[in-house]
Parts: sequence; structure tokens; C-alpha cells
Amino acid sequence: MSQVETAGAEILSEIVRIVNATTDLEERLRQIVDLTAHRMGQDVCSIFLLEDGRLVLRASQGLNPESVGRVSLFLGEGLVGWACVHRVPVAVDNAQADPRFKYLGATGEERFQSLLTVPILLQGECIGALVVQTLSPSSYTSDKIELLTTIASAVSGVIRTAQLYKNSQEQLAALTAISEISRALISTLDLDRLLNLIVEKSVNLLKARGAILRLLNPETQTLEIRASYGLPPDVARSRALAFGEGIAGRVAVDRRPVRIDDASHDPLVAATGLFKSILCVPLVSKNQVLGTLALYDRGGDLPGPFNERDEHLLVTVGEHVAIAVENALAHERSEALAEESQRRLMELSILYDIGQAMSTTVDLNRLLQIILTGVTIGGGLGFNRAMLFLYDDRARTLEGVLGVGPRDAEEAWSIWQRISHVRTVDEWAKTTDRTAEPEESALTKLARSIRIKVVPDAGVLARTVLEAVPFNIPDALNDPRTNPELAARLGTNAFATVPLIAKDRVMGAILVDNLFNRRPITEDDVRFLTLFAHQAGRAIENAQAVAGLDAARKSLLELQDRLIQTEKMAALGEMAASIAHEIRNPLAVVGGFARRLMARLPEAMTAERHYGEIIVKEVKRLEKILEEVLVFSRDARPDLVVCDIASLVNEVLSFIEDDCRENGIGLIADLPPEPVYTLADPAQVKQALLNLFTNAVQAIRRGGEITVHLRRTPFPEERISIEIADTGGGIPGDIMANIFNPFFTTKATGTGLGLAITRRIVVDHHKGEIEVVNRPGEGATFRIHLPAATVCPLPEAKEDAP
Amino acid sequence: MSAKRILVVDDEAGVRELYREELSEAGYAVETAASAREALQAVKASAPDLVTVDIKMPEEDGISLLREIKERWPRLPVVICTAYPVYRQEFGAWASDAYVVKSADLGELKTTLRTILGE
Repeated sequence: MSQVETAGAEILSEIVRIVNATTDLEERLRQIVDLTAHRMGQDVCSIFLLEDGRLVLRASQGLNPESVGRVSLFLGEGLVGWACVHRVPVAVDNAQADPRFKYLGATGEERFQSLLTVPILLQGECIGALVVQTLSPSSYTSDKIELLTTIASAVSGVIRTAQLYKNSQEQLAALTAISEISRALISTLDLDRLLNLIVEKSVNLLKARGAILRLLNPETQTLEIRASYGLPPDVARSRALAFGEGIAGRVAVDRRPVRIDDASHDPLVAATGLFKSILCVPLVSKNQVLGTLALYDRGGDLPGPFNERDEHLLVTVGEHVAIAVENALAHERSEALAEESQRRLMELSILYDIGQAMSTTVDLNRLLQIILTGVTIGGGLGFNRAMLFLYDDRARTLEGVLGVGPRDAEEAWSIWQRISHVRTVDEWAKTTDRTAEPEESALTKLARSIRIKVVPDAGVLARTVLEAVPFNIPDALNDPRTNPELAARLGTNAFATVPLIAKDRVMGAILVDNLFNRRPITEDDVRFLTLFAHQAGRAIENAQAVAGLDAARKSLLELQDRLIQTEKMAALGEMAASIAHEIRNPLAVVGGFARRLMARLPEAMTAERHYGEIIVKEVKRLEKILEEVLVFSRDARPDLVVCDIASLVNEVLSFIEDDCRENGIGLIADLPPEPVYTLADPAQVKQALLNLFTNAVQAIRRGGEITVHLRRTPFPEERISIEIADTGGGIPGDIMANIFNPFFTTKATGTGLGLAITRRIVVDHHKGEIEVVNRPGEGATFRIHLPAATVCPLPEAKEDAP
Repeated sequence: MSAKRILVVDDEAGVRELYREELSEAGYAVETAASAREALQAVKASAPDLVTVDIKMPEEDGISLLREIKERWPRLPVVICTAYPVYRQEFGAWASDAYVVKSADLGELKTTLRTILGE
């Protein structure tokens, strides 16, 4: 073995040791140039490595150490460049004489004469060059060239391992970063926290200086900024982008990453005033674009634009991020659903509770009280105040009936204190006295003072009924829909109204406000209130139906009472009638013969004639009594004909004229000059009037006045009114209730049937009315109202009238 | 001119007696019958100018008698003379010529008779 060979073997074995050492690339290259220069007896040994098309001096023994990393050659430039291009070793004794020589300043190489350079090849590609130089001229033998070539291939190996190591290190770093991001991503389902985590981790991973994460809003179909990093606040809050708009919009449409080195033309980038380059990737999950993730400007050890490796990395990160975002969105949706169902459940339980409370009564007033309590109690709908209005669809008016709520903030506080232990309306309903009439609160008074004509332009309350829809008025003063007077009376600027509906019929409306705690009324509140109002509407309808049944039952009972009374009277009347008939015949005979006797008694028999007169007079009285009893029996059906009431009144007046004159009673008749026609039984009407006049005369006894008015009144319905007023001192209060009872009398003589007959004739036989106005100490006024006939008077009837 | 003949039909003897005396005094030829059967025989036998009929009678009542007389002697006037004022409105349906409520005072009856008999 030659010396060179021995030396070569020694060098190589040492180089292998260096190659396999774990120190970093720079250190190993330095050791290699040291060793090579020393062992090969060279003054200089350098390594150039090809980086971005230039051969950069990366290690050197003998050249100025300052020049390492700073000095470079183009490929083909100088002897080193030539060797690299031609991939052959170049050895020259006098380098500076060689035309290919290129002097590199700052290295101090001008002192050296001979030079040997060999290319460093890696898998057939030239990646650099190994150079040795000497101060004194020397010639390079093929042994030396071969040795240096071998060393060059060792350098090549070192670089390759270093590159592999660096690559794997980088990949490891990326994987670590991604796994770290993934771990972070699954650490939370809270969307906002997640998004902030994503931008933070992405920025850290790529050593970027800023980031924006946008999510697609499915409703507006725009990309909204949901998280950012390193951006001025105004930029971070800038507007959403439409699909296709700007860089992020384009990424979302194309579903491909975009990397721009100089994006300063982009308005958003320009707005930051901080960044230049951008890397933006789409966030796609299950083939759906969820959003975009954009990073701005690489910083760290390699500041400037992003490279391809960054892009790959961010795409990978983006895939993970998309899944995490998708999960968080799904979680958010399910949270919202759970919240919604939770709220529905609560609403249902409140409705159930109030429903329970409402089912405890069919009394309308109490029901309304429960409804409004349900609207205002904390365990119910929780409004501060509520008013209930009922709709009268015939009059087309809406009237306040009840208000529940405190008068002022102070009372509100005390009520809240008092009822804070009552959790449910049902509980409230069970603990409050159900029989006690709720005292009329200030709010009820206010409600009852409100009466609204239900027409389209009468404000929201009327429209609530007309359109059967709720209204939520947050600012009544500036809302043209509201009736300013109503808002002023309520003393509130924010209120809501809902219709009370049962079977498509609007029964009224509920008005609510939060006057005391000023809590805004939300659409959710109104929706729930509407739901409740439906339930309440049905309950009110039921209560009204029950009230109707109750009234019907009452009137049936009254009718039954009257029927029993009528039956009694009929039986009595029939008995009286049969007795009257039996008496009548013999009475007529007795009376008849008494008259005959009278006719035959000579004038001289004064005493006998006096007895006879008494018999005749008493029989006459008895016959009158019998007449009354018989008229009262129920068979006396009226014989209705068209007749002139004015002439009937006149007939009766002429009947009692004498009586009145004898007793000093004035008769004032106010009768219309023209006939007053209607359908009536003239005999019965005369009888009825005669009874009233007779009573009046008997009440006055001596010296007084009887006034009779007759008129036709068009309202409330057309009828004929006869008013008979006396100055007989009135009817004693304790007997007022009995005056129309049959057989009731205050007179020593009389059947007590007079007013009963009058009433029967007027009310039962003519469908009229009779009323009494008693003026104690002065007199009494009886009014008879007969329905006016809708038929035209017959001409004969006119002629027949006296 | 001979006196008009009146047949008084009434089940009560007192009434027949009173009517006979009063109406005779008023210038009528008065015949009486105590029942519907007697009345029909009397009408057949003596052909009166007018019949007064009580409504309530045992056996056949006055309304049936009225109907029978009107069927057989449609032109013979019949006056209902009764203690029941309540049937007054139906007298037309029964085809009687007048309806008089019995009273001790026979003035109304006499007026009615004079009107019907055209005196």
C-alpha cells in the first residue's frame, strides 16, 4: 500500500466516523474540511453547496471564516462552477493563470496557487463542490484526485442524511403540530373557543403573523369572520364576504387553497396595513364548505411569503379543522334543539299548570282572574301587568273587564315578596279564596274605563280582534299603529296584545306589559302568550256556555214557578168560575124578582121600597163581583181587532166622569186628536183601564186629580203607552210587591182582582207591559204599554169609531 | 099585529118564571121549555118568533140545541142567555144571533130582543 493510499485509508476511516456522528451538518462539514486540509497537506479545504442556483460557501479551512455563508458563485462561474457544470474534477497548478478562475473577494484566496475541485454528486445531481488549495505550487496526482472524489462522495452522504434528517424532523414537527391541533380541537365543543383555538394554533404552527377564520352563515350565504389573530380590531370585525367575493370567497367557491406572495391589492389585506402575503384554505366537511382559514405573512426563521410545504401543512390542518368545526356546529345545533325542547317543556308545564287552575272553576269572573294571574305570576308567563278585554260582536266594541298587576313599583315589590313562595298558578288558585269577590284593583278600574270601537283604524287593540293576530309594540310613542290615547292611559311605552280565540271566534284580547322591570317583550314571549290565549279563550267560552246554561236554568226555574202559580190561579179561577155560575142564576132570579117587587110596591110603602132597593143594589154588587171573578178565569181569551185606543180611553172616561165629579176629583186627559189604532180586545182594554181609574178614584177618595196621557212611542220599539197618574198618596212600600196578586186588596169591599185582571189583560192577553211608579206621599202612576199593530187600520174601523 | 112569541129555554124554574113575567109584561107571548127536548117539541108545535137558550143544561146542552134549531129552522133567531160571560166571543161561531149574560137587570136582554125582532 502506498503512502498516499495509507493516508487515504486513514482519512476515509476518520471521515466515515464524522459522517456517522450525530452532530449537526455544519459541524460535520467543518470537521471534514479540517481533516481533509490537514491530512492531504493542503492549505485550504472548502465546501460549496448549491442553494437556489448558487454555489454558497458553507464550510472552509484556510479561507477567511467570515466569508462562510456569504460568498457564492453561479453555476459555471469560476473553476468550482465549471467543475460542477461539467461534473468532473478540475486540478490546476497555477489557478490564477487559468482563464476560468474567478477571484472571490473576502476569502483571501489570492494567496493560493494550486487548486483541486471535485463536484459533490447526489443521485447523479450535482449538489456542490469540494475544493482544496495550496499556497505553493503543487501538482495533483490521480491518487489525490481520487481521494478527494471519495471524500466528496462521503460529503454527499453526509448532506443526504442531514437532508433526510431535516425532512423527517420537519415532518415530525408538522405531524406533532397537527396532532397538537387535533388534540386542541377535540378539547372543546364550544364553537367560539374552538375557532379561537384554531387560529391560534395555526398561527403558531406556520409561524404566521395573522389569521382569519370565516364560517359560512347558511341563512345569509355569506362568509362571516368568526375568529382572528393579530389583526386590528376594525379589520377583525369587517363585513362578511359573499361567495366568490375576495380571496376567501374564491377559496370557498373553488374549494382549493390559494397562496399569494403579494396580496397587497386585496382590500382586506390592504386594510390591515401589516401584511403582504396570504395563504388561504377551504374548510370542507362531508362535501360541504363550512368556511375558510387564511394565514398572513410567514414570520419566524424564514420570514416572507408561504411556501408549498406551508400550503400542504395548512391543507392538512384545514381538513382536521373542518371536522372539528362540523362537530362543534352539530353540537351547537343539538344544544339549541335541547334548549328549545327544554323551553317547550317548560312552556307546556306552565300551560298545564294554568290549565289545571282554570279547570277548578266555571265561574267566568274567577276564570278571568286566574287567566290574568297566570299571565302575570312568576311561575306563569311572568308579565308585570295584564288586562283582559272582551269583545261584543253585536256592538262591535271591546271592553276592558279585568286588570291584574301592581299599581306602582312599590306595590309590585311587595306583591313579588308576598307571592315568591307560590310557584305555580294552580297552587295560587287553590290557596286563594275562591268565593271572595276580588276587590276592584286600580288596574281593573283602568281596564274597565277602556272601551274601544272595533274598527280598522282604532289602533292595535282593535286590530288584534279584527285580524286575530298578536301585536308586539316595543315603542308605542313612535309606532303609527298605536292609539296614542291608549298608550297614555296605560302609562307604558312597550306592550303586547294577543287575541283570545275560541273555535275561530275572537272573544277578546289580552294586553300585557312589563312596566316595572322594563324587561323587553320578546317574540318568544308573544308566541307563548298567543299559545296561552288559545287555551284561555276556550276556557272562557266554556265558562260563558256554563253561564248561559245557568241563566237558562234560572229562567226555566222562574218559568216553572210562574207556571205553578198560573196553574194554581187557573185552578182557583176555575173553581171561582164554577161557583160564580152556580150563584149567578139564582142571583139573577133573586135580583129580577126584587126589581119586579119594587115595581109593584106602592109609593107609600117607603120602608118596603127601601128594603127592595137594598136587595136590588146588593144583587147588582154581587153580579159585579161575579163578573170580575169570571173574567179572571183563564178562558177569557182576547178577541183582537183593530181598534182606536183613544176612543176606548174616552169611553172609560165618560164611565167614571160622574163618580169623579161627585168626589171633587179633576180629570185631565192628554189624548192625541187623531185615532191611535192597534190590535186589541176593546172590551178587555176598557176593563183594564176601568180597573186602574177605579183604583185611582178610590185612592184619592175626595179632592184630587187623575191625569191620563196617551201616546205612541217609537222607541225602544213602537208601542202605545197609556199613563194614569193619581194624587192618592201613593202605595205603601210594604204592599208594593203584592199589588198585582189576585185577591190582594186593601179595600173593605172588593174582590182584589182588579189589578190582577188588568195585568192579565195587558201582559198575558196583549203581550204588553205594565209598570208602576210609586211616589209615596204623593201618588201612583200606572203605565200600560201595548204593542203597536203593524197592520194598517181598516177604513170601517175608522168609520165605526165614535 | 099580534104579540111576538118567544120561547125561553132554561133548566132553572126561577129563571123561566122571571123571564115569563118580565117578557110578558114587555108585550111578548112567552112560552118556556125546561130542556132541549121540550124546546124542540115547542118550536115544532107553536113556531115561535125567537128562542132564548141557556148554555149549561142537563142532558142536551144549549149549544147543541142551538145547532139543531139552526139546522132545521135556519131563519129562527136564537139568543144565547147564559151565566158564562167568557164564551161571548164564540157566539158567532155557534151561529147564535146574540149573546146576553144573565143578570137581575133584564134591560140588555129586552134591548137585544127588540133589535132582532125589528121593533
